[in-house]
Amino acid sequence: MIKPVIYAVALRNLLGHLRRTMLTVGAIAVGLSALIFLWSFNDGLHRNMLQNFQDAIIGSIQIHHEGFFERPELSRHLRNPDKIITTVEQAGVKRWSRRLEAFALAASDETTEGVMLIGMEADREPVITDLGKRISIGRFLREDDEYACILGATTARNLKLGLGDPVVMIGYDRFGALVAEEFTLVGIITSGEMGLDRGMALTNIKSLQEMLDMPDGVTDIVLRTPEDRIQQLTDELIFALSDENVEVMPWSTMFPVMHEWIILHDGFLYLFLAVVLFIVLAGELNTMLLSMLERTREFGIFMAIGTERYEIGLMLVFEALFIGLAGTLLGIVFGTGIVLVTHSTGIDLSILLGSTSRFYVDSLVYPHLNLDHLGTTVGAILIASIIAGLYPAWKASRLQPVEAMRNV
Amino acid sequence: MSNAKRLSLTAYLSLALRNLLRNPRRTGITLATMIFGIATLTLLSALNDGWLEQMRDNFILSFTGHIQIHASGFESSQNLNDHIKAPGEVILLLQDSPEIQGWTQRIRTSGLVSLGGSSAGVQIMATDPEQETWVTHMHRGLKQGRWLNPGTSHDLLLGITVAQNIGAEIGDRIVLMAQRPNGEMVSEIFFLRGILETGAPQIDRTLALIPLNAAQAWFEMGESVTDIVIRASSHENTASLQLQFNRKLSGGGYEILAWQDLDPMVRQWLEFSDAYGLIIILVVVALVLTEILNTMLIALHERQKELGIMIAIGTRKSQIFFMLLIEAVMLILLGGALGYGVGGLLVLHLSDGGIDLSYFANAFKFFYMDPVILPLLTLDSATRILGTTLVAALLAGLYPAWRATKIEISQSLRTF
Repeated sequence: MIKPVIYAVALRNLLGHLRRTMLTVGAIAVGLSALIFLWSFNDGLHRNMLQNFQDAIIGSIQIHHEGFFERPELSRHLRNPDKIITTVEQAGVKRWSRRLEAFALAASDETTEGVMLIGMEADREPVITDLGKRISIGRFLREDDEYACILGATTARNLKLGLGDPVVMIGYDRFGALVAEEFTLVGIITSGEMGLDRGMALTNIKSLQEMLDMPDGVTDIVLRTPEDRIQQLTDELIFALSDENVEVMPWSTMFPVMHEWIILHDGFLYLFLAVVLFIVLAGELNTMLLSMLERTREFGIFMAIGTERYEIGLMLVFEALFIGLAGTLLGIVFGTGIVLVTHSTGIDLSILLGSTSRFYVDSLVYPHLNLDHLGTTVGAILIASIIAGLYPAWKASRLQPVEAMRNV
Repeated sequence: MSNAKRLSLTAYLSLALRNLLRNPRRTGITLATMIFGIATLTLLSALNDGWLEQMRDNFILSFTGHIQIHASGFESSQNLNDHIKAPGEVILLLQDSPEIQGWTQRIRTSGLVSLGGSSAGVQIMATDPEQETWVTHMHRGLKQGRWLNPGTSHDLLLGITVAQNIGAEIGDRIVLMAQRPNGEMVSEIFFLRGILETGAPQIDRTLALIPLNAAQAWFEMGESVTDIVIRASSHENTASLQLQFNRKLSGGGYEILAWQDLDPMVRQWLEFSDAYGLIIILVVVALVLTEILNTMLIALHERQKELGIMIAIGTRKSQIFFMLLIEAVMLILLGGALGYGVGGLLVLHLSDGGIDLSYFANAFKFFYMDPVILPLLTLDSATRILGTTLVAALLAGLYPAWRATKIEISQSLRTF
């Protein structure tokens, strides 16, 4: 029979030695808030990366004719783009745009370079990507442009082209016949990201449709949607478009490497967090052991006046539980506080980095709290702190009263 | 005050030592915190360094090499006209240098591959098939087929994404189109012998690899090349080699570029990873320090009565401060040394097999990252991190010692 008085004694021990209690609680709280911060930093970074990655050019989801992504041939253009757009709008997506893509050889007077020639809707494109903001020289496409084109900075430099210069695009139409057309360079993109600065040319979809003799020809419909809706929306669209012979591809299917990369980066952080968890656990075990050491004499007296061993053990487990809970709560408050503050101000990586946007990372990182990760971390810390309390409890319950009382 | 009352350093030392030994359990627990903290920090830092080093290695060995020598202006123009006319002159300098592990010559230009109705823009790269294997690991990225045969064979290897895009299969006749230095557009038939997957998307998406001699004949370039690519025997030699070539080849119309200059994107990415790792490590350093401070404070709390008695029998507060500080210094130095030793052993043990993260991601590499991390202990980061932690721990040790001087005798003697 457990006497309720044990709990009262445990509580009095905790409150009576407020400083000791606070130190132990503080150790857990600091550990937990450090973990919360690291998670949020990592999640915020990845979110930022994904955002920039999708904003750069690929969007969240693309719809093509079946097999177009594997082998982008013009014969695989979308047969019913209007019907697809109706379906997309019915699914509640407002941010969409049409594109027509074809390989071409860009030639200047000096030299040539292979590029992916992408025809875009000048008015709709800014809704789905940030391409317009990456123009370093000149301007983005306009609706009324005829045969205007935008090149990546590296391509423009290789071709020795400046604004207003003519550039000839040589490509194949969908029957394999060679076509060539002269474009005027109106803008240059400098992004610092792979794939954009080189090997890509943008133009109005109308001009490209004319050049390739494909009136209303569309190869891609690109959608932009919040990250947490992508999977569900993909499933919905696949179902709704099942008789259209199209492929509905979220970015993670098109660029699995980026997806895998983030998982791998997370894996690296898991490894770190596991080690950090150990540090927290060891720290708590140490403080519990030390405080037990200090109280050996007290336990001896308890036993001498007839307290059962298991009751002493129970008392310590109760104390550990209390400390664990208090530490966790304090850690959550403290950690979320740090995240909230840094979330609004951002953490300036450029001090360490010395550069701006690279690898889809902005120099200001805004930590973001993912509730799943918070739950896992809090659970682990709580369990760890209870485990850390069990050992001292077991030790204390095995003390010899006489020995213990002799302890100074 | 008379000198007699001032204790000598040896007296402090022996006093502190005796205090530490008198209560081995307490000392042990405090020491364990420090050892554990420093050891884990060492491990984490080694993990971070190993991971960065692997990325650097993978980058250098996948394509770029440590140093490239071009005719000046080639890197920005990418124009075949800016080629090295007498590569033999440069190659003479490369022979028998112990700092160089291998070198190769290449021709790079952009072009178009086509098969049937599909075509794709590519980066045509021509290399010496045998020399290349001394410089990069490109040949290990063969997904299908075989490596290039030397000579003027019409062998062609494609990056996996290029091959997919045009739907090419091994044995296919593929037309390559490019421009000769004089501006003439020429096409030539090559046979697809292999498909390469390097894990670096920009390479997999654009690479068309052919033998050097075939390209020289096709472009009518004689012995000329555009790149001489050098692999140093270690990363540290890069800078000195670059300097050395700059001196020897100055005025000859060459540009000598190290890997960092050749792909600023990767350099930025490595810098970013470095910053990311640094932030994580800093948080962990703060955490370890808190744990150490915490343990010292609790250990002090336990000794209140003892310190109260010392004050009661006339020990001065400054003496108590020094005694405690020396105890802390001894503990921290010992803990630091042992912790580093334990961490180092752990790293050595783990670097045998590496830590496999492929549980989280498929076993393939992207952006030069391996799923298997081999922790690496570098002197540089060891001194940096260990140094910071030790200095900070010593500063942290000041606090409990200072706190002890604030003890009220009556208060401390009352605790039991």
